[in-house]
Amino acid sequence: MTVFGKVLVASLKEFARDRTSLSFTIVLPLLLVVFFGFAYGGSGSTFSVGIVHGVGRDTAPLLSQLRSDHNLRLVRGGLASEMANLRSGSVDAVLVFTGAGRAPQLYYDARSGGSALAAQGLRSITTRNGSTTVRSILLRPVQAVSHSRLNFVVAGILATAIMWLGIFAAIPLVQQREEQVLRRFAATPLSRGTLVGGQVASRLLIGLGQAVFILLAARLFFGVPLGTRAGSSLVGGLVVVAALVLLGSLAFVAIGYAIAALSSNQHGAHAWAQLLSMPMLLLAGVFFPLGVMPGFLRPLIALLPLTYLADAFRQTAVQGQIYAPLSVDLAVLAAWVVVPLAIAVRYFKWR
Amino acid sequence: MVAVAGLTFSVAEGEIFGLLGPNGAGKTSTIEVLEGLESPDEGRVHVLGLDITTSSAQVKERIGVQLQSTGLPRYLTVAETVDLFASFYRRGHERLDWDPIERLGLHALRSRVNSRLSGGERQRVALALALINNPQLLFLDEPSNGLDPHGRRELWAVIREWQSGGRTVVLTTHDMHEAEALCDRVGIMDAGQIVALGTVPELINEQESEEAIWVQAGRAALPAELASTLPGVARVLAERDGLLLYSDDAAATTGSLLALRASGELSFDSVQVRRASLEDVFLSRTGRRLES
Repeated sequence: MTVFGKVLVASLKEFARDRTSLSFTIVLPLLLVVFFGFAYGGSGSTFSVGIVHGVGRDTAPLLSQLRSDHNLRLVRGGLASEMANLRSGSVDAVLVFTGAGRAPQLYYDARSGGSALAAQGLRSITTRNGSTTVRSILLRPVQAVSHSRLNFVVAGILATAIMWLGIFAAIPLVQQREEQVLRRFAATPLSRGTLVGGQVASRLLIGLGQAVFILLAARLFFGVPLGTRAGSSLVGGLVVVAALVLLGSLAFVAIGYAIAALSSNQHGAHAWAQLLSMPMLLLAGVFFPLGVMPGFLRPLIALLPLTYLADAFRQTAVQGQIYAPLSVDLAVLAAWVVVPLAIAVRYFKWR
Repeated sequence: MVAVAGLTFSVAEGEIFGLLGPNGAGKTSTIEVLEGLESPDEGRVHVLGLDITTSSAQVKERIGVQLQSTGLPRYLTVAETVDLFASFYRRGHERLDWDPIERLGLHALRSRVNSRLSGGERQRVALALALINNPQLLFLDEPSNGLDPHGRRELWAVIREWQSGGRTVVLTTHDMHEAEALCDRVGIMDAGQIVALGTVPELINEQESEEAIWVQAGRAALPAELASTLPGVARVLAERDGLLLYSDDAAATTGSLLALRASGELSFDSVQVRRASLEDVFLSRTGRRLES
């Protein structure tokens, strides 16, 4: 085996025997999947409804009625875009007004519990309304790619697990520096590039393993599909997911190494790792949709790498709302590889 | 801060060279420059005929290093650690005529994880790693640190056995017994300088007196002025609990000491006579004791 391979394998073994790392990368994400699996397995109580062509005097009473319902969030849009939103799961139902005096049509996803509930709720509201123009409502089931809040959360958990894997790479590195292991390596012909390369490669492999583990767990226990975007092949989708796992791992490992470069001991590294990962966990739209975040946090949210990694996973692995186009996600993540890497190279101390 | 300055010394092939001095004397800084871990601000350092600042990669291929702290990866087993380090060198351990694992008694520890080793076991693993590439030159920084007397004698035997094939050892120690027992030549260091350099007999013979007499004073005071007038005494060093006399004629000095005590003119608890040692060389060069 080459030196690079030896370093990589040694690094994998060290990872597997370190209980702290293991709990952060495997156990905790799995617990999150299970927790959210049960919490979101049913449906939430708030529904989004896409409204199409909802203008004019005859639709106004119904719309104001719907608007006053706190359980509903109304979104206006064209027929095509709202139907796409329904398919991707970002709205639970679409209400289409086809013309004066004609019954509006309600589209929902028959395979989604949330969507079905939304449709039922809307039907009862429109019936109670007693408006002369809306006598009945036509239910139109739509065959959508399965979607739910759980899908949304699984993408977030995958992104979070990769964040922890990368950021907490700082800890063993600082530990090896403190315990003079790096210095002992420096007294051998082993090059720094091979050492760092082998260790980073091991993290990337662990990232891939972690992704397989989380997606399999989500599929086996809660039926969340390994899924691909509608229309693309399963294998093609998985290749994109794997590429994203690698890019995300690289970005967060770079951040971890920058933390290791800037902190003088393990306590400092731990503090930095927590300080960076906790706000991301809360703000990056992993567990709470970005829509509920107050406006003043938006500029901060727009900087976080986790925002883009979770968003990218949502767009490929599982379906959900889109924060930014995939190309923007990739570009921001790439920047999060380059900048921390430059900091790590500039400030890293070998002793 | 300057750790060491103006050092000049050379080590001959096949010898065991020791840097002896108290903690903070600059021994580790010196040996780490030789190992290519630190680069000197000034001066030239040649190791195995190669300039260490420009050819450190080639040098590292041919030297063995044991750092003061053992620096073993926490979660690897002994066998995995040895295997990993062996892969760093082109000269693999399979070419050794002498198996460090066997010789250092590490066979039983092969599957033990490094973090579960005792201090002495760690030192042995660290020494095995230093020997893994069959180096021409071996650097040992405080190799007997944390070893019990038995472990220390074992270590000395291993170092001597390994070096007997004409290989070279450079080690640091703050223990003059280790330097006297193990080293062919010694450089005594203090405050970043080499204050004495030579073989152990040379250094001791350079002393003005062959013998040192330790007079334990107990509670009663022993005037240094009086002691310096005793026959044979060349030099007197006053210590907190007694006097150290260097004498050219130990028999005459002790005789008059005992006579003065018998007549009641002097009071002390005990008198010890010993041959002058590296401790005395250090004392005479620096005015301080090596081990306090």
